[in-house]
Amino acid sequence: MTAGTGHYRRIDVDLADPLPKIEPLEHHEAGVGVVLRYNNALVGFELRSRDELPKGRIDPSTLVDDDVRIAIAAETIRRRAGRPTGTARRLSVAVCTKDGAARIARLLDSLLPLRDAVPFEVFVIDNAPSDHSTRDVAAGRAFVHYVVEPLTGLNFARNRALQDATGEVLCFLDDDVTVDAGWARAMSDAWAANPEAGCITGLVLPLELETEAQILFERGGGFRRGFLPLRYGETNFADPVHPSGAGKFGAGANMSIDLELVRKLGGFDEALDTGRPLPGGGDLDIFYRVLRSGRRLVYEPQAAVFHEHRRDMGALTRQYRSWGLGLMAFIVKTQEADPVARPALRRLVLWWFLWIATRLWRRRTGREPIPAAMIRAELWGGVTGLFGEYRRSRERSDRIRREAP
Amino acid sequence: MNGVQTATVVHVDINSAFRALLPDRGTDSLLAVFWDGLLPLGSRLFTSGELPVSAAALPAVMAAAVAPALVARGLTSPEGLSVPTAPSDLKISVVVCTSNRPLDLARCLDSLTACDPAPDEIVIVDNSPDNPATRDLVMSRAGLRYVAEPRRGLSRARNAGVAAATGHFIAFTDDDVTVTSNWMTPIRAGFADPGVAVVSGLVLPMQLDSAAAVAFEINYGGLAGSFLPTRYDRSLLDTAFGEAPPVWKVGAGANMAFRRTALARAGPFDERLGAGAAGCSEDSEMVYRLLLAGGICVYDPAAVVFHRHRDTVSALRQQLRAYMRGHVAALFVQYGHDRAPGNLVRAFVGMPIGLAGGFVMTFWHRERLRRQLLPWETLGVVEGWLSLLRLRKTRPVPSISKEPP
Repeated sequence: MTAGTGHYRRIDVDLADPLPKIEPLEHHEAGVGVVLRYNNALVGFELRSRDELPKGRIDPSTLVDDDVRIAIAAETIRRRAGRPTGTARRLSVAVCTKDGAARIARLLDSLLPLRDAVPFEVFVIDNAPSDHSTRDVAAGRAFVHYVVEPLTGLNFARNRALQDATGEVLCFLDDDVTVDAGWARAMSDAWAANPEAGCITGLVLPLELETEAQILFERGGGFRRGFLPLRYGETNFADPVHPSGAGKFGAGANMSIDLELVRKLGGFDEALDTGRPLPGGGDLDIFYRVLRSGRRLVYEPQAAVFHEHRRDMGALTRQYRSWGLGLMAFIVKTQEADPVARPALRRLVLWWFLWIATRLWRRRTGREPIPAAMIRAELWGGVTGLFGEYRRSRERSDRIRREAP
Repeated sequence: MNGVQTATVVHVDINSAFRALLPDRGTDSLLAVFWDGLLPLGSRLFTSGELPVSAAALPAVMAAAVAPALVARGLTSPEGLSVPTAPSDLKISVVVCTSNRPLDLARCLDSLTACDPAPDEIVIVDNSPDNPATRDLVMSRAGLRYVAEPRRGLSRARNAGVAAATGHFIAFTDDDVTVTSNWMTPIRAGFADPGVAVVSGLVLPMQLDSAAAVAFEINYGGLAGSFLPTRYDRSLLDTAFGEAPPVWKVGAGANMAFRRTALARAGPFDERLGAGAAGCSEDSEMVYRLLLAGGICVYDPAAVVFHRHRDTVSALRQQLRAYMRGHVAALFVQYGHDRAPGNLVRAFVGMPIGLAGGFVMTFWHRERLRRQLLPWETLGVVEGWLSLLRLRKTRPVPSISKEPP
C-alpha cells in the first residue's frame, strides 16, 4: 500500500444532506480523506488513494461501510434519548504551547464561535517562551487568559493550568489542533451524562493530508479510536492488562479531566512529557491514575479536534520513537508507584515487544503501511524508556524546579 | 483485572425511561441486555469497576451495544423494526425432552403455556420414565402430550418426540430453559421461506449468580449469544483446507426448530451423539446433514429462550467434558457424511492445539477457574477420540421417517 506522491484532498460530507458528488481528483491530488457526518454527527473517516477510487466524480455513499452504518445507528439512538439531563459542569480550556503563536491563533479562532453555545474560559499557558509572539496573539482576544510557565516541560505547563483554572472540568488541547464546531457542546454533554467520570477523551482527526508523512500516519490508523462512544472503568473483562494499556483510551491532544480529582491525585507527573529527551507518557499516566482512583474514563467521538500531523518523515520517525519512550517511561514509573499492577505491566511489556515484532513482520510481508525504520525507532524508544529514562528525567525535572528563580 | 465473579442480569428496554444500572447485593458485575420490546438487540457486560452506570450515561453505552444488530437488520434506527409474520395454517409442535428435572420442567412448561401465539402442540418426552415425577407433572396440566422413551439418550428422546409430534415444524427446547412469550412468531416467520430447514435463536442466561454460570456464559461464550440475524446455507461447509465447518454457529438445540420434511429426508438424530450418549452436538450434526442436503438454516435472535446454567463448578466441568467428548464424536460422524478432512483435522490437531493455547492463555489472563476446568475438557477430547472405536462398530439406526399429515 503506497501513499503515492502528492497530497490528499480533505473533504467533509454530511450523508443526511442531498448528496453532492465529490469532484474528480485533480492531477496533483493523490487521494481523498473524507470526514463523514450524519446530521452533523461524526460517523466515519475514510482514506482513499487514487487507485482505490473510481474514475470521475465520487459518490460519497460508496464510502459508507458497515462501520459507518453502525455509527449512524448509534448516533440515531443517542439522539432519540435526547440531550443528557444531568447537571452541566463549568468548562475551562487550557492550551499549552511553546513558541507556537501561529498555531495558537488558529486554534483560538476555532474556539471563539463555540463559546456562544457553551461558555468556557480559555488559558494559554506559554511554556518558557523565547519571544512575545504568543502573548501578542492572546492579547488580541478578550476571552483568553495568558499565563507564562517558566519551567520547561509540558506537564509543568499543565499543572500551572490546574492551579489557575476556575471551572470544574479542564479540557486540554494541544496547540497543533483546531476544534470541530460541535466540540464544546459534545464535551459539555458528555460530562453532564457522566458525573462519575474522571476523564473524558475525544476523537482526533487529521487537519490536513498534505505530505507523505501525514498520509502515512493516517494509513497507520492515526489517533482515531473509532466513532462509537466508549466507557471504561478500573476493571475490564476483555483486556488482561487493563488499565495499564492506556494508549487505547485517547490522546493528550484532546482530553479533559475533573479538576478537583486531578488536583487531589497530585496533578500531572512533571517528569513525563518534558519535551526532548522524554516527550511523552504524560497522557497515559493520567488516564491510568484516573481509572485507578476508581473513576470512569469516557471516550466521546463527537468531541472532535483536527490535528496537524508531523509534516516530514524525520519528525514522524521521532514521534514514533517518543511513543515507545513515553509508554515505557510510564510503565517504569507505574512499576514503582503502583506495585499491585506489576504483573500486568510485565505482561504489557512482553505484549508490546511481540506487537512490534508482529508489525515488523507484517511490514516485510507488505501488510503494514508504516515503514520499518519508524517501527524500529519506536522499538528503540521503548528500549531507552525501559532502561532508566524515567529516572534520568525525574532528576532533570527536579533540577529544573531547583534552579527556578 | 477482570473483576467478574458473579453478575446480575438486567433487561433494559431502549424505549423506556432509563434507570441507573446497579448490581444486586451479592453480585459484583452486571450483564445488561437491551431490547426493543420483545426484540433483543444487544448486551454489554459491566465489570465491578465500571459500575454503577448512571441513567444519563446509559444511552451512549446502549447505542454502541445495539447499533450492530440494527445494522444487521438493515436499519439505522429502531423505527420500522417489526417482527415479521408468516402463514399460520402450518402447525408448530414444541418438543421438550426431559430427564428427572421436574422443578425445571415445571418452569419451562409455565413459559410454554404462556406463549402468545401458543404452539399448536406441546410434547414432553420423558427420558427417565421409571421416576413418576415427570409423568405426574405433565398429567396434572391440560393440553400437554406425554411420551415415554425409556432408552437413555437425548437423540433417542428427540427422535421419539419427532415421531409423536404432528406439526409441520418441530421446535425443540430443553427442560432447563424458559421461552419468551412470542417465541413462536420468529420461528414461524423464519419458515415462511420453503427452503428453510432450521430456525434457531438466541439463548440468554437466566441468571449469572455463580462463578460457574459466569464462566460458562462469559469465558466459554454460552450457548448461542449473537444478536445478529444470520442466514446459513451450504457455503458454511465450504471451508479452507483443515478447517471444520463451523456448524455450531447455527445455534443450540435448546432453541432450534426443524421443518419436518427436511428432518424426514435427513434421517433421525444420531443416537450415538447427544446427552446420555457421546455428550452433545447431536443438534449441530443434524444441521450439518441438513446443510449438506441444500437446506437453509436461519439464526434469528428474535426467538429468545433463557437457559439456567449449571451453578456449581463440579457440574460445569462434567458439562464441559461431555461437550468436548460429544463435539469430537460429532466431528467423526460429520467426516463420515462427506469426507471433509477439516473435521478430522479439527478433531486431532485443532482441538489439542486449542486446549494447549487455552492453557497458555490462562496464565496470560490469570484465569484460575479455567485452569481447573481444562483437564476435564482435555479428558473429554480424549474420550471423544476413544469413541471412534465404538462409532466404527455401530451405525445410526433409522427409526423415523414420517411425512406430515
